[in-house]
Amino acid sequence: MAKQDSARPTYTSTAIKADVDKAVFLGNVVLDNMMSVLIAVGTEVWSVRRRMMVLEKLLEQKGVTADMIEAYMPSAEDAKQWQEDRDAFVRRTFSALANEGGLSFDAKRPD
Amino acid sequence: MFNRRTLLGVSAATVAAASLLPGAKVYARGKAGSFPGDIEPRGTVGRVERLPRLDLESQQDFLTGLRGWVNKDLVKVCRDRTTRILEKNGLDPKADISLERALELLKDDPILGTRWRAWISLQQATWRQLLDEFHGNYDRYMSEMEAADKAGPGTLELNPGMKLPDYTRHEIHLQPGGYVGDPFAGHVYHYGTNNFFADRNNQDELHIEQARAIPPPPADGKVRRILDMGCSCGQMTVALKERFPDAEVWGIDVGGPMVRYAHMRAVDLGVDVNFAQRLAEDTKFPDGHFDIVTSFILHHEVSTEASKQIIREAHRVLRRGGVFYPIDFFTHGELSHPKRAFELAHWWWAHRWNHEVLYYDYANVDYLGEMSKAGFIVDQNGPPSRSDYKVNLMGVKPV
Repeated sequence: MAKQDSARPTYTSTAIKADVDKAVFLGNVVLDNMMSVLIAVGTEVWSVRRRMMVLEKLLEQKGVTADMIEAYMPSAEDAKQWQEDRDAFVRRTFSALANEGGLSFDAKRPD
Repeated sequence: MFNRRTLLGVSAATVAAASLLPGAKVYARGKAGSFPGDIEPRGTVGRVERLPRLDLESQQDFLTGLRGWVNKDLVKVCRDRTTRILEKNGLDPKADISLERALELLKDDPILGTRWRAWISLQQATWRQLLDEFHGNYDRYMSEMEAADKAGPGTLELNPGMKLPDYTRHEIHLQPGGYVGDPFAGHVYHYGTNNFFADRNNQDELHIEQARAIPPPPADGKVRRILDMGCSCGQMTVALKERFPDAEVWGIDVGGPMVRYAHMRAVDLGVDVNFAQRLAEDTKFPDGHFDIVTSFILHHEVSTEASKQIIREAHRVLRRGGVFYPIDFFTHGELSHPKRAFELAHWWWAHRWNHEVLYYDYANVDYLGEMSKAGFIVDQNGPPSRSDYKVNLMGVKPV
């Protein structure tokens, strides 16, 4: 984060910091960390996919520029479709998290 | 009077919401340059500025989608799983249970743990990405706010020397710096809560609906002044001005950066409302000054003592016949903390790990009793704040 300029008032006070970084929900901090990594990767992957969608739309036209890509405004119809695509993407990449497991390494085969 | 901003870029949703109200106005952002120093690098959608980079917008979009899946699909699995865990332990899943027993049974479950962890990690990612943007372009966004500080319509009052009670300094919802500790707290809160509300409030739809629900004082219907307590980034305050265009509307919040952003946004929208950095329990307004006092999700974020004082303060600043209309978790008819296992564990998790630090203070306040004690005529069956609720708690100061 940028260093704050003491000459410019920010109207802030000292906050009482949360201790959530110490929380372990999955019995092993590595697993907890993996979840954060997965989510971060997910945001990156989705960013690429979404940018590609913008590009594909623009490439249908002619004379594509970077400014055009940044300024691209999806139509209401496109936005709705993209939201549906997004939700499908989330289900596709994260549904495994709801897998409950239940069999140990040495579990016998079912009859 | 409508100005040019009221006529540009107005979304269908905001038009539809306000068109139901006789005399109501609709505000939406216009082109960049609504005030000298205003920056809108990627333009606007209705009344919200687009996030300044496509990648940031896409990252937030992903987190919105993931949040929706966690809150719906994964929570359903967790509820079913909780039922099975209770049954396995010989307990009735529909029976009340103690928090201690619920945590004992559920705390080590890996699937519930996945839900708790996923939500925390995505919440942290939401804040971090937004903060990186605003702090990474510190001078740019600080200069914009400094320019807006001096602009109108509407006024801004900042009180840098104000002593803040400790309860106001927590990082509620894990927002780094909380409401008082980061210069871009308002920016981050606005876009972070747009994410939280799953794109259902990007045009302030929830705030508009709630402002629309507030009844004028029953005695004479006159609304000259309105106070929005704990206004955060000012969405409700703006919606109140739309609902009551001729009223003088004030939004107050303990966070200097929050009211600063709220003012900047109102200036950009061309809305004549006033913001001040003040405490809801000590508003500094004269006795009997307001016709309506309201708040949206304020009370669960203040201490028990502050909450009681806020109720008394609302009574003090209301004129006789005035309406007190707080909106929060338990104002919709369900006035008590849930007692079943999953909900108990959920609220404990929200309190402990999503840093709803004051949640139990809120859950333990006798609101009806405190409102009566303060002098209100209490109505548990006031008009609902949203179409999916049946009632909302309200108080009227006796004539």
